[in-house]
Amino acid sequence: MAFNFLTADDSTIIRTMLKKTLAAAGIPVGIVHEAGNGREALDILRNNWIDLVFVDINMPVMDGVEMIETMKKEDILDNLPTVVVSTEGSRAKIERLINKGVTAFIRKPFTPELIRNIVIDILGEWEDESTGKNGTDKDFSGEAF
Amino acid sequence: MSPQEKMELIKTFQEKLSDTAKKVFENAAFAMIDMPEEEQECAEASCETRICVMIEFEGHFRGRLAMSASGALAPVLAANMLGVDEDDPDAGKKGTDAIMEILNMVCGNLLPEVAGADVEFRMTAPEVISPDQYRIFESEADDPYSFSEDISVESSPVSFVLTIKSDRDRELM
Repeated sequence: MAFNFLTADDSTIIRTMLKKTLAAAGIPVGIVHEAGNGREALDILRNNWIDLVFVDINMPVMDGVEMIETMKKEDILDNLPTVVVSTEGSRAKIERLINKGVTAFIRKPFTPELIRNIVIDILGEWEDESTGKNGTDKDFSGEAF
Repeated sequence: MSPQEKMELIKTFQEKLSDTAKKVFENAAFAMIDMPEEEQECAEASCETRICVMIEFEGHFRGRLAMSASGALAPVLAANMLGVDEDDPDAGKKGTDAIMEILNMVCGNLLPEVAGADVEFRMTAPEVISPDQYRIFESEADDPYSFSEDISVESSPVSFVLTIKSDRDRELM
């Protein structure tokens, strides 16, 4: 079983970091789609099976908040796990995102361990085909929100 | 905001900038940061290729943070951020993007350190500026509401110029 991801961030280096982190963390990764803004991300979401979305707040064309608000209005995207990855430090803005149904918030800079921890929390356990061990048997630490 | 409040704000920024930059460079790019040992080290930086970027912010107050880094440092940071070797093609291609993202993280983490976590700011996307433009910002650092700071990252000079914009700037926009 492999999971498909979408990374929505105008920074190509952050998208690549997330992609490499997912691949290196032992998470069974299928396709990692990439979008440079919220509008591109919504197009991908409407046309592909995605298990988890990473989204930045500050993006050109359509920002992450508007993208999340649009997702919540569409039945097919309403319950999709969404992780905000941002430099945002305002407590009020983060609380508003949580109230909109965001699954987790990760503040940049992030560690690969934190990404892996949160993905495990959200997507649950999986069988590691190479070792036969369960994905959550591995050592990791981190926190959401 | 009164002139005295602005002066106090600048002082707080001066106190927080180095620490915030240090955390970002260490956590995002596993890079070591320290204060330049000699003035000459940063003076020499003007002779080499520089990558200059800036970001603007607006909230409880408004301003601009610009950063200038060595062109040689950029692929090192990109390689560390991506977890690849420095000669990896990705590191070479994404050097400027790494510098822009580092500035984004420094600014995004600095503002709540200075203004508190309850204050909301809007930040522009980081953009590349010319070394000439950066030098203009540097020349404005003598302004009472602006300052520059030099640090050393992986033995390579990195400089910042932070400017708090005046209410008059707002009226002109």
